[in-house]
Amino acid sequence: MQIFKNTLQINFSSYNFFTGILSCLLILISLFILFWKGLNLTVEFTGGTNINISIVKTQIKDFREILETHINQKIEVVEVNSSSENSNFLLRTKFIEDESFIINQLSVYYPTIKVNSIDSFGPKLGSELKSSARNAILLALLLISFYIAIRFDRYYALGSLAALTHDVVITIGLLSFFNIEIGITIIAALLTIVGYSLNDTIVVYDRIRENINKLLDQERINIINRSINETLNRTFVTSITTLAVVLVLFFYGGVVLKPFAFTLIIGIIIGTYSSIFIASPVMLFFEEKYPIPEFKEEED
Amino acid sequence: MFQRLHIRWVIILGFLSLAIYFINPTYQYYSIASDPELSDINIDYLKDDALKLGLDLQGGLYIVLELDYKSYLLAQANKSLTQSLKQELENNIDRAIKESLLNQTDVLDELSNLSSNAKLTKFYSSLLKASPNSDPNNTLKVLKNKRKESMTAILDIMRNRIENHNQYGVGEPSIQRFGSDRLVIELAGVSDVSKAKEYIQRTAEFELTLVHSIQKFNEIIFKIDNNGDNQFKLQDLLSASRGSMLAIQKDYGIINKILKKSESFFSDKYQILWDHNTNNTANDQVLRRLYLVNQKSAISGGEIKEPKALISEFGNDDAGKWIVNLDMTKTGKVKWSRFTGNNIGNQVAIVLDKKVFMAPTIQNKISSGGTRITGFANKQEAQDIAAVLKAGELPAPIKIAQINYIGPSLGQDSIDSGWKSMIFGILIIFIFMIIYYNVSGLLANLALFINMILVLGILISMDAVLTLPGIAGLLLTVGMSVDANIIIFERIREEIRIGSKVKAAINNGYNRAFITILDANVTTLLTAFVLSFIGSGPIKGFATTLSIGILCSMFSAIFITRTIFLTLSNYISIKKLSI
Repeated sequence: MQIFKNTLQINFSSYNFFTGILSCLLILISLFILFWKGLNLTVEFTGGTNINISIVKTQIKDFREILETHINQKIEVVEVNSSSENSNFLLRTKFIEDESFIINQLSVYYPTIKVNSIDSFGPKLGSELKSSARNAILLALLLISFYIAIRFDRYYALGSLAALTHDVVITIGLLSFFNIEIGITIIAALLTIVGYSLNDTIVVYDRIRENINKLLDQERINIINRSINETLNRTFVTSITTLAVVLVLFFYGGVVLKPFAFTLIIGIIIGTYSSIFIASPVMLFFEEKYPIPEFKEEED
Repeated sequence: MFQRLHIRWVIILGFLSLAIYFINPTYQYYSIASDPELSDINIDYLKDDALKLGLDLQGGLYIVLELDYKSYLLAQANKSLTQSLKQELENNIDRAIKESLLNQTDVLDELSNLSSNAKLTKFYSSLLKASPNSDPNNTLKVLKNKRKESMTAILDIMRNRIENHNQYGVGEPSIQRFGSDRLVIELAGVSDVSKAKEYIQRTAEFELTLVHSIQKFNEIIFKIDNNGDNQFKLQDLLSASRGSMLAIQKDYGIINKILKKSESFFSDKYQILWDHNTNNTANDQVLRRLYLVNQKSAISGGEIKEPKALISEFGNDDAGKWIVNLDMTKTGKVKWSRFTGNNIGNQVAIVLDKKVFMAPTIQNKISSGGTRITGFANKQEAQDIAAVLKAGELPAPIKIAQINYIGPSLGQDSIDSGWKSMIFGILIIFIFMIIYYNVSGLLANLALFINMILVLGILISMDAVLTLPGIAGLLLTVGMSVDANIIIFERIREEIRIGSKVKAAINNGYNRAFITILDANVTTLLTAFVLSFIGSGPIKGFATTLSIGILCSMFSAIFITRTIFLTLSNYISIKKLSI
């Protein structure tokens, strides 16, 4: 079985104008959403206390009323994953060391109250985590570009960096659009996307490198087209298998992994797209615009 | 060629059996633990070698405690500072805390940046005096040393509190230093957060209480052994020695279980408490004493005053030796006088948080309250007891910096859904690979299966902790690890297309794909490597499983499937490759 015929010869470069505009638009929209809505960070980064409780079926309005009258503190309440018998509420407030007060007060009204989970981060830890997450992403991008610059050359590094930035920015934009909170697990997902998208890109690059040595008389743009066509089956099959397990995670992985899986779904789709339509054209663009002088002399 | 295949198979089977050797205890442990019919089999010996589950899967409490700098630095400061100096110090501390939050730096460094050395020396002159060997020009260093000392002491006290909480076996507590000013406490299986927190935060419970004779102890053991339906008899596990019972380390758990179950036989009048310390015998056995002490204490924490370790003066029998002196409050004096008068020649247990730290013998009636405890081997011992008598007060104030709690049901939900998605995910990949690559897909599946066994084996041998993101990482490697096979298979297809013979196609396919696989995987490894530096347990678990998964998948795709291909093509002459 095969998805694409071996005689396949799609002229990917002819779409460059269209995909270039599409990607720029997506990035602009993402940036716009980010500036407009801001990053929605979890308590891990902002500091604060989240308490997830289950009580007997209650209207969120009534629950809020009880909270307001009995607890002298600003608490946000949202309903999450309630079942038919129970209501699940997520209480969010600024960082408190002692959350048992809230629980005790509530247990007067809801004796069957059950605490499912508590996440509470002091402001210091939050800001520490934030800077280490930022450093991690920057370090990962740096290491990767360095590796590619060594294994390939600087144009490939620039091309892959452009593709990665493209993937991360659009994914974060979409996360923001869907109101998904960004916490450590999402950072892990983003870094996984970086790794995955790069994986795809490198397989294409590898083929380009091989074909450049094999087909010396060919134009660069034809080589790129040919390489993308040759690796297209692999690109799609891997995307399908990876997407399959991530979809399983999304549907069966439980509440905790859902946002994580969702991020990966977006990332894998965008990463596959970028490795075909962004990485190679950008690489070629830089190569033609800023050629290395010595290299040219050699060619002559 | 055959010779080399031989070696290849030895390597594969060697790794595989090693992995199975590591997985075996885990398999046994969880299959016995999940079978209710086998609940009375003791599987503790398997637990150490079995794969451990993270708090997010087991349910439990994760707490980060942090030094409360403001009150700590104010408390350490010179008591006789003028009002204006005190105000200046307080302002500096406030600013230092803010700066450290902003710059991610040490509060103490910021404080020393904000205050001149002369000022700093003035603020902490009493502290400098108390540490005679220190350089007076380096108050910062003295402060840092003091902090280190305090944090170590807090760690000890916390460990004692938690172990005590755990006396009757709840989960597996762990407590560790984290950085220069934090402690991380993990309590697996805790279901009552507020109780656990209360336990960590409250000051220790201190009492002086009468130690009962060994005859009395024997009577109670007899009663427990004859009335309870216990698998083991206490009298077989304990041996009398100097007014208490000795137990061997491996029996602690069983003894605790029996005592917990039979509490009703003695708890109205007595308590049975462990010694804080252990003794080693000549043949390297670890022993611990059990004491039978009065339920009602003679003296409690608030009634003791000014315990101090010091060297006994001339004129005493034990001149020159380390002793501990203490005094009593008014009500304490009355109680103590009556108690010591009635119990001359008996032992009194110094108990902190239900652990016996020492059980000295009462020499005579003490009516003045002034009490001397003698018989210490060295300064450290005497100081430790003096610290215990201060009722386990923490040497520095701490506050909670982070709490993560996962309820037991949420943990179980995560295990169930993780397990389900794992099986489901693998199944989908298996079916897809067979449909898409036919017989070769079947081989890839075999490699994937071996790959999973290797990954699990390595994880267990590394003592890694399985978390929910870890399971996600595992599943992700399943999806990504077939990638290496896909790259190879697509290559082989291309080779066949241009007319290569089967064997040549396989060889060329593998050789050409190798570089691609290497480059593509190294970069994913890089990101996983970076990830392992941020975040706490769960994310580290993700990074670990992802990296091990990638390494193993490269091995299984490049080495294992190739060996299978080569072996098959050696025995059967394949005209047409099913790929």
